[in-house]
Amino acid sequence: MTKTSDWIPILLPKGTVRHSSHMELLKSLQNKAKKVKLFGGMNKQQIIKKLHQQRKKILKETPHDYINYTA
Amino acid sequence: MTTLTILLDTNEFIFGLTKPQESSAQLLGKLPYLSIKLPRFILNELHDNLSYTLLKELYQLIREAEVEVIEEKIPASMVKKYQKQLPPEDAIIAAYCEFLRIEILISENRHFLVDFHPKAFRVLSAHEFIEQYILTESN
Repeated sequence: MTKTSDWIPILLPKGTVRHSSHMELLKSLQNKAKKVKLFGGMNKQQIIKKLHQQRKKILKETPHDYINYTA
Repeated sequence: MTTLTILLDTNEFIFGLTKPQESSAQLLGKLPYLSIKLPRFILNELHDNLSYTLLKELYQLIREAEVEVIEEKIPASMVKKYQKQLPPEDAIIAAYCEFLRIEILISENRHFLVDFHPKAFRVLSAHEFIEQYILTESN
């Protein structure tokens, strides 16, 4: 399975903080999240449980994604 | 606004995006004023759960807020230390907090919030953080 992290460029240069545009972006993100029904119908505890299970699975299958075993 | 170094668990980003009425959304709105560190694995978890369009904007959001993405991995010994008190998947987060000298971990995970009281950092929910560090300072 190809991870999306492999194909999205990571560019995080230092920039000027413009709070108004930050809030606009956040609202835009929230609106889009609603449209794609991200975790649709789940309550907070169900979402936490789902995220937890995902992390557990990755940790079991590919612990090197989190931990440096050579240290 | 506080200058403390903060780590946000994956669930805070997800709640901030999906539940705009929640404290987590309020917290994401304050990102430009906070010193946030974001380990790569949390970003990877967001990759696994957000659509491409959402991710592109999330990157813009964290870039504007100058969130620092951490590429380093943690020593296994540090994770083992926290496994005595927490499940392995939570021990990872706790170990990262100590490794990165985080002062506040913000999470909605009850494993952290109820029974876990580490010496190296504080654990707060988004609501608690806002009450203690944002509302207090704006009054």
